[in-house]
Amino acid sequence: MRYEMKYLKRGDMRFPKNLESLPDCPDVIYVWGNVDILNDFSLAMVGSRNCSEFGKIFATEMAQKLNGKNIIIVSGLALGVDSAAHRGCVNNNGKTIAVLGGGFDNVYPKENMRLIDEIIENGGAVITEYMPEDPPLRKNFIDRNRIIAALSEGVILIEAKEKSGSLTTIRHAINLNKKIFVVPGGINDELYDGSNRILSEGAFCVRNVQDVLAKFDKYNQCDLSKEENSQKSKKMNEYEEEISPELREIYKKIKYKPTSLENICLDSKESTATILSKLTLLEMQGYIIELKGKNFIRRKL
Amino acid sequence: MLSNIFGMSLSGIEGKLINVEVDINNGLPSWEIVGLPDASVRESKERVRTAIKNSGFELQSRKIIVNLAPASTRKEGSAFDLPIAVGILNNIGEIECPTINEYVFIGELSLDGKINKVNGVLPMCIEARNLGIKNIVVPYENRNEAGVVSDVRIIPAKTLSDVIEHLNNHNIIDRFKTNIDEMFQKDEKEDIDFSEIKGQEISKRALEIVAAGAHNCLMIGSPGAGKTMLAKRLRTILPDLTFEESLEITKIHSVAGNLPANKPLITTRPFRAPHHTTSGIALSGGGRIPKPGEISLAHYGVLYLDEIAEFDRYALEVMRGPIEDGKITISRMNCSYTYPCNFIFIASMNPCPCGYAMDSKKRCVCTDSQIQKYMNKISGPLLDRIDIHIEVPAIEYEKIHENSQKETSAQIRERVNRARKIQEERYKNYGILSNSELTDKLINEFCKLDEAGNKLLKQAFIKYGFSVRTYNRIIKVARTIADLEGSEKIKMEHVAEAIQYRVLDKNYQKK
Repeated sequence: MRYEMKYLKRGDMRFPKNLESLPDCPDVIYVWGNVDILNDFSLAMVGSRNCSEFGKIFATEMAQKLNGKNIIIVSGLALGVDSAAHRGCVNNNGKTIAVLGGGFDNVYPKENMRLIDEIIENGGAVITEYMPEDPPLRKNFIDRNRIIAALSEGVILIEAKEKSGSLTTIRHAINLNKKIFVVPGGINDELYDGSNRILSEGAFCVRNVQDVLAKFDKYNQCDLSKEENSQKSKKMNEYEEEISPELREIYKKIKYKPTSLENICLDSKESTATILSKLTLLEMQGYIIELKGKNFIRRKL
Repeated sequence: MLSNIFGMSLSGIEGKLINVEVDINNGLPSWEIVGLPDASVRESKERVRTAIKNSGFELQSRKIIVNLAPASTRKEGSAFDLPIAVGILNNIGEIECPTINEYVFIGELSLDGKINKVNGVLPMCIEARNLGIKNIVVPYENRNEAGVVSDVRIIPAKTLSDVIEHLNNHNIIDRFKTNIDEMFQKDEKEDIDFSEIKGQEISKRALEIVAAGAHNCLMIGSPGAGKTMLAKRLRTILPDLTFEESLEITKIHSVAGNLPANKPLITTRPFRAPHHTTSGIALSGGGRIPKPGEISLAHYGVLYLDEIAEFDRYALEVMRGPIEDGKITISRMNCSYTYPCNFIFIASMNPCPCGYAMDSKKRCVCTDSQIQKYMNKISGPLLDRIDIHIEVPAIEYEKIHENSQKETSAQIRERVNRARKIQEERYKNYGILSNSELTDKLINEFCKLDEAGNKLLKQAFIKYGFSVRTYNRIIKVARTIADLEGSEKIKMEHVAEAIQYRVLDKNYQKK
């Protein structure tokens, strides 16, 4: 086995208390990594495996920001949104918990083995209710969603189609009376059909980190959020003012939805070469993000 | 009685002098060719005998032995017909020419005595000239390509009897010379030009850098985005050919036998685009009797592999060494040939199996693992040899009718030429021609970054998780960008631009 496996029986001091509220609480959970964080404040982040580029970026950034406030992010280690959420925490050198749908001998998907390494290096944990030799069955993944829901204080849904597996997590969370946060999508975007439905049922709408933090007393009042508030109150043009004058011109052309390089170059007096090098600088300074296909968006949050 | 005539054969893309010894004696009538002839040489017996008869000479029934020296190398091809025929006629006293040893004969005979064209005449003539031969008799149809060689008398002959009459001083054939200056001046109107490309600003800029630094490039784009259109036009902005380069290219194409009859000298850089069903051998060159492959035919030009993910994996692996070395050595049982292959490698592929992963309008239907699998079709070591990767997005509708004035190929080529001059000057003592060939050691010497550039690269290194290889590639490309601008130092903005040409490391990296 890749890491030393610990197990926590129900009744153990370190056994996550949140799980006890489940009607079918597992009697034992198996843990790789840090066993002491399972009772800390955490939020779950879920979404479709086959998500959009934007969804991935949003999940990573969101997880990174929340993690910066010492919030542990719980997710399912699947591809897409789950991986992005874990990645965000790891980027922040922070703690995150991955809940597997199979035993430790059958980690699925295999390509996330490297991500597991990084999660454990940064003091996070990988947990499962299944015996090491249990295979990653479809049914198991649905079942483990209840653990993700139970473990955390709230669930953030990044992106879900009409029939998404992540909606089962939301169902469990609703039953457990957790807070539900949903990132809204365009009504013509099928990737968000599920998300928007949950939103219409009364979930909290998430546009930025502040929307999430405001719903938790502990974080709403803490002085850390002042800086967030001040950022929020900043007008857009003030934000632009931070950017050095020679980069500002380019920044103004980039919008919050993907802007293609062609459009940035359009009616620009500067040569393509100059524009390209300025885009690199803007991205390095964290004002914009490059998407596939030489599309750029402004960074928000 | 013995007579000794010179003929030529090929070894790789170099000519090789062959001694054709003919001995005719009394004895039982027979005809033997020795000296490791292959089937096509052995068959020349019948062609030569009939051609001699049909040219009006009489060949008595005698014992004839032909030896092709050096006897240890294998001879192939039909270029020995003429020297053998001349040797026999010389032997039986039909030729009276005291200076016959100052001649080399190249040509295939047809049954009526006509001389047919053969492959590889250019390298043969160059080698003969270098060995101090004064006269070369070549097939009339090969005269243009042979006429390129200076300091030697090229005698184009149509028939065997013409050759005999010339040697006997009856009907002297005029010396032939190709007008080289005219060839280079003839400035053929290219029917394709960069100004025809609408939009695609980054791709155009990237190709300019590719041309200026001879970098290899991978284009990732949706179907119909214009990858092939761009690649084809790269040739039009490559630096002008020098006479030596042109000669070397022509040699390879002459050996391969695909030199157009009206173009004795290839004066434009080759563009080769083999189909993805092409085998490894067809790319690298080879066969029982080795022939140059696509990579050699693209020497000093462009090798474009469209849909590289569809190529046979083995076929692609074949190119790993040659891309780095600029030559390929093919070894067979009894010979080992080296062909040069110094080409710019351009490849294209889709961003995912469905092709729309980077399209902002059409949604991609591939899963992450499908994309990963698709990307994994190209081996890491091959990708490591590619300096520049760019994305070529499909152009938007509004751009199709855009009519703004665009730069022409000639304007871009001017800048490319200037950048190449700078590189030539800088590397003249180091045996390399362009930035793409820089070794790690030379990078340290010639690619000094300024303070800000260093800082930026360090930042990027951490942010995107670049590898050391990527680091070197970025510096090389930054060097070319600086050269295009005529800047001696590599500045921060050059590095910043170079980082944009590493999309595989940024957006497609394995996680």
